[in-house]
Amino acid sequence: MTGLPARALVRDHRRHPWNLVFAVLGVALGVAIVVAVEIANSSASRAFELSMETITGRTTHQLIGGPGGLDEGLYTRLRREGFRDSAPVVEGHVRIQGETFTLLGLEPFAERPFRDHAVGGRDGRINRLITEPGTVMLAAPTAARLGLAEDETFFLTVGTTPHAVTLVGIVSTDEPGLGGYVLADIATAQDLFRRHGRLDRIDLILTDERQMARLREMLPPGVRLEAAEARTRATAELSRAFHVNLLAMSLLALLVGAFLIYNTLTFAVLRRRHLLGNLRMQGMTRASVFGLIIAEAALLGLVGSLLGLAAGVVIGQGLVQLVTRTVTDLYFVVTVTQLALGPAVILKGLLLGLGVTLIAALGPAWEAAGVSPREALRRSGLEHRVRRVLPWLVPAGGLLMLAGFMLVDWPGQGLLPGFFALFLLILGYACLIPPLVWLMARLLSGPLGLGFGVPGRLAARGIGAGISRSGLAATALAIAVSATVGVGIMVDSFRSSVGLWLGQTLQSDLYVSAPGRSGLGVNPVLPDDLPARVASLPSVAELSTARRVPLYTPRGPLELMAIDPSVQTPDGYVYLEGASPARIWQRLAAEEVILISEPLAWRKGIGVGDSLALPTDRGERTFEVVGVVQDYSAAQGMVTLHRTLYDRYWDDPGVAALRLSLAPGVSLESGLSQLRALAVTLDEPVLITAAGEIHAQSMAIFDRTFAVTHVLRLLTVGVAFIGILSALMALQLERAREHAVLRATGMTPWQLGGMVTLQSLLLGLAAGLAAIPLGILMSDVLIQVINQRSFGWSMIRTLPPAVPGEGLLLALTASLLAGAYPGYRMARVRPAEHLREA
Amino acid sequence: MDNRQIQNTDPQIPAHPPALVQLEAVSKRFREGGTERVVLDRVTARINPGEIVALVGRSGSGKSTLLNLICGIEAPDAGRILVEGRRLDTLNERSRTLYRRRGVGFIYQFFNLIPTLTVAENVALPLELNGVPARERRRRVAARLAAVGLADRADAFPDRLSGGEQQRVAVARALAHEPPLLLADEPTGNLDAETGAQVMALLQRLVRHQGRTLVLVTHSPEVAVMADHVWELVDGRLQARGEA
Repeated sequence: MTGLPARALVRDHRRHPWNLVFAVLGVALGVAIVVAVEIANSSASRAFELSMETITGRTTHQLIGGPGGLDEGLYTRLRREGFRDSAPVVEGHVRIQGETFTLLGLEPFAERPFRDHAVGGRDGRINRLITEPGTVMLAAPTAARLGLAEDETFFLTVGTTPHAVTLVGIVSTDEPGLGGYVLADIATAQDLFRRHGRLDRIDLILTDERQMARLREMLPPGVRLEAAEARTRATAELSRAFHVNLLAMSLLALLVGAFLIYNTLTFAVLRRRHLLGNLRMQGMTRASVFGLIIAEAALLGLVGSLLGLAAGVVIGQGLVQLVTRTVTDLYFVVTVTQLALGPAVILKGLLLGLGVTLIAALGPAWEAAGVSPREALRRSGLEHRVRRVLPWLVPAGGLLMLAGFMLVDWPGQGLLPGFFALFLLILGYACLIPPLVWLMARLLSGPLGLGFGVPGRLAARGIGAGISRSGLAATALAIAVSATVGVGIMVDSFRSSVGLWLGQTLQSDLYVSAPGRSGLGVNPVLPDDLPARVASLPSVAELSTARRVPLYTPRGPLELMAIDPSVQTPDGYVYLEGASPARIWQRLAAEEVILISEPLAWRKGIGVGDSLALPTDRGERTFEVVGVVQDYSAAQGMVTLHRTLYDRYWDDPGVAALRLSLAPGVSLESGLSQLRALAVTLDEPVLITAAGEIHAQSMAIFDRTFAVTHVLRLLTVGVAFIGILSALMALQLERAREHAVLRATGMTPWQLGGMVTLQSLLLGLAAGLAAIPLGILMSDVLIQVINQRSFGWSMIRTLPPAVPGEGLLLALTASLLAGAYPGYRMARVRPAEHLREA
Repeated sequence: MDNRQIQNTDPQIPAHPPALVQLEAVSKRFREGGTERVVLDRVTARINPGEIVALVGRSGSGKSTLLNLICGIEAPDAGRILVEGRRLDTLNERSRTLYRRRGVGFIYQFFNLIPTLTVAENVALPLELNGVPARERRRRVAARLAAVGLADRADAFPDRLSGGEQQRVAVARALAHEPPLLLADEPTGNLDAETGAQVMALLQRLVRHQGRTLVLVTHSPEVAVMADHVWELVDGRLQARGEA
C-alpha cells in the first residue's frame, strides 16, 4: 500500500466521519455480542470445571448408588476391608440469601488424601464442625460476599425449609472453585437433607486394577464404580447444547453485523468510486486498489474488534449472571466468582471481528479493484450496470434459497449444516430484495407524485435511480430486522409450545408434593400414609402418584419418573410416537417397558421398539421403549415408567407427589381447604398447588431461562438499529450533491427535508415488509434445525402479530431518524458548498 | 479523404522516424440498448515524438474514446495500437496500468484532482506510484508547482482553488513523472476564455520545452490552432484539417 492513496482514503473518512463511526460501531457491536456470550459461556463452564477440580481433588473413582443413594454401612465395610483412601460424601443444594450453593457433607478425618482446601482452617474449627451440629464453613471470598463473619448464625434453606446454621470457620483460599460450596460435617449434611444413614457417594483413590476388581466383587447390586473424571465430563456435557444454542444466537447477531459491515464498506467504496477511478487513472493497479481497501477494512476491523472486546467484557458481566441462572435451573448448580477472560477469548474475539470484516470487505474490495477508470468517473455507468444485473438476482437468489432448503433437511444431528442452510437462505433472500425495491419504487412513483407532488415523485424515483445504493441499504436493513423477527418468533413459539404442553400435562385439579425437587442430596418424600389419606377425602375422585428422581447412568444423568397412574394419567401426555395412549399404559402396567421423552429419543437416536439400558438397584437392565412423549421439563431426558416396575428394580418406596382430580361438583376452593385441613395434621410440610399455579410458575421459569435469549435479541436489535441508521444515513449523505442541485433549482428546505425523509421511510417500509417473510423463514430454521438439534425439543411455530409489528416499527423508526438528520442538514447548509465539493 | 490518405499525404509525418503512437485500422463499437454504434471505424494514424495533435469533432464523435484507447483504459474491437513500438491492444490489464503509470500524463476537463490530497500531494501522486524516492519527489513537486506558478499553494486542498488553478495543478501532475505522452481531454472546456488561454499557453510551453508529445481533445479553435496537426473525427473516420 502506497502512502498518498492511503492518505487520500483516510482523509476521505475524516470528511465523512459518520460512515466511519457506524462501520466501527457495526464491527464493535457484533464482536461485543459474541465475546459477551463467549465470556458468559466459558465463565460458567470454567466455574463448573474449577468447582469439580476443587471438590473432586485427587479422587480417581466414585461409588454411586441408585435414587436412594448408598447405605453408610458400605463405607464402614470398605474401611474395614482395607480401602483406606475412601471418603463419604453427602451433598445437596441449599439457598443462602437467595443464592444457590452446594452443601458438601464430608468426613474431615478421611479428607486428607483427597482435598487440600476443602476442609481447611484451624483445628479448633474442624473440631467444632464435627462436634457441634448445624455448623458450616465457607470460603473466605464467599463469606465476605455474603457479609458473614465467624460464629455468626444465619439461615440456609433446604427445599422450602429454612435452617439456622453457624459459621464456625472461614477457609482462607484463593481457589475460585470453592466459592459455590458450603462445607459441613457429614452428620450435619445428613441432618439437613434428612438422609440419615445414607450417603450420596463414596470418593476413592484407586490406582491398580487388582484393587478395583476386588472392590467390584464386594459391591452390593445397584452400586456402581465409576471414574470420577468421566462422571464430571458427562455432567458438563449436559449443558453443551445450551451453550451451543447461545453461541448460535450470538453468531446470528454477528451474521447481521457482517451484512452491516459489508453494507458499510460497499457504501464506502461506491461513494469513493470517483476517487478510486482517479487513482486507477493515475496508474494504480487493480491489486493495489484491492490491497488498499482490504488494509482499510483490516484497520477498521481491528479498531472495531478492540472496542467490541471492551464492550463484550462489560456485557459479558451482565450476561454471565443470566447464563449461570439458566444453567442452574436446567442442569446443575454453578457459581461464577470470576470471569473467564483468558487470551483465548480475546484472540477469538479479535480474529472473529477481523475475519468477518475482511470477508465482508472482499466483495467491496473486488468491486473497487474492478472499477474501470472510465466508468468510475461516470456514475450513470454504475447504475446502468446494476440495473442490468437486477433481473439476474432473482434466479440467483432463488437458487441459493433452494440450496438452503435442501441443506435444512440434511440428515444427522450436526448443527453446522443448519447454520450453513440459514446463511444460504439469508443470502438468497438478500438477492431478491434490490429487484423488489426497484419494482416498488417504480410502482409508487405515480401515487406518491399525486400525494406529495414533485418531492413525492422524486423520492420514489431516487430509490430506483440510485438502486446500487438504495438496494444495498434496503437489503442490510431487511436482514437486520429479520434477525430480530426470527428470534422473536422462535422464543414466542417455544413459549407457546411449553404453554400448550403444560396445558396437556396438567390434567389434574390439585397437586400435593413434598417440598423441593428430588435431586442432588434432596430426596423429598410425602408421609407414607398420605396417598391413602388423600384418596379417602370425599372431595377427591381419583389420584395418581409420582416419584421423580435423577438417575446417573454411565452416559450421563437423566430423570426417572415413576407413576402409579389414575384413569386420567394417559391423557396427560403428548405422544409423538407409539400406539394409542390406552394401549401404551396397558403395556406400561403389565410389561417391562418405558416411555421416553423427545430429547432423550433425539440424543440417543432411539424410538418405539428400541431398547434402553438403565442402571437399577439390581444391576443394569434393558427396557423396551413403547412411546416417545413431548417433554420440556428435563433437558437431559426423562424416562417414565410404571410404579410397579420401579418398585421391582429400585429400592425407593417413597412417593414425592400426588396428582388428584376432584369429585364432580366439588369446587377448587373446597378441595383446597379439605387438603389444607389434612396438611396441618402432618408432621412434615407439604405443598398444595392448583394446576393454574404450577402453569404460572413453570412459565416464570421458562421466561427466566429465556431471559438470556431476550437480552441477545435486544442486542441484535441494537446492531440492527445501528446498521439501519448507518445504511440510510450514508445513502442520504452521499446524495448531498443531488440534493444541493435540487435546492439550487428552487426546492425549499422543507420540500427537500420532506423528500429525504419520505425516501428513507419508503426504504424502511420496503425493508421492514421484506424482513417479515425472511424473519419467519429464519425462525423456522432456528426452531426446526438449530433448536431441535441443540436440545431435541420440537415445537409449533407461532406467529405473534406483535413480533413482525415490532420489526416494522424498528425499520420505520430507524429510517425516520436516518432520514431526518440528512434532511435537517441539507436544509441548513448552503447548496453551493456541496456543488463545489464534487 | 480516408484514413490512409492522412498517413500518406501528411508532410509532417516522416516516412521512417519511429512513431510514438501508431494506430492501425483501429475500430471501436458501443452497444446502446439494442443497437450498436460504430464510434471509430478503421482509424489509422501515427503521432511522432514532440508533436502536438489536436482532435476535434462534434460531441459524441469518438474523440474521448480515441484518447481512452491511446492511454489503455479501453481496448479496441479491431486493429492495432502501438506505443513506442509496443502493442498496447495485446497487453493485459496490469501491464496497461503500468504503461499508463509510467508513460502517460492525463489532463481532464473537470480536473479530477483528488479532493482529499493537497496540491503538492496530488502532484506527488504519480511520482510516488512510480517509486520515486521521497527527496527527489519533493524536489520535482516543488519544481513543477513553480513551473505552473502555484508554489505558494502547495498545502492547499483542491476545493480552495479556482478552476484555472486546479487545471494548472492537473498540468503539473500530468507532467510530474515526465511521461513521453500527454493526453488532455478538453483541458479548457471548464474554464473561461482568458484562463483557458493561460492554461494552454502554459501547457504548450512546458510540452515544447520538455519535448513531450501532446494529444488533446478540444472544441476550441483557439486551442486547436496551437497544435502541429489538427485531426477531425467525422463518422468514426479521422480526417486531417490542417496544420498550425
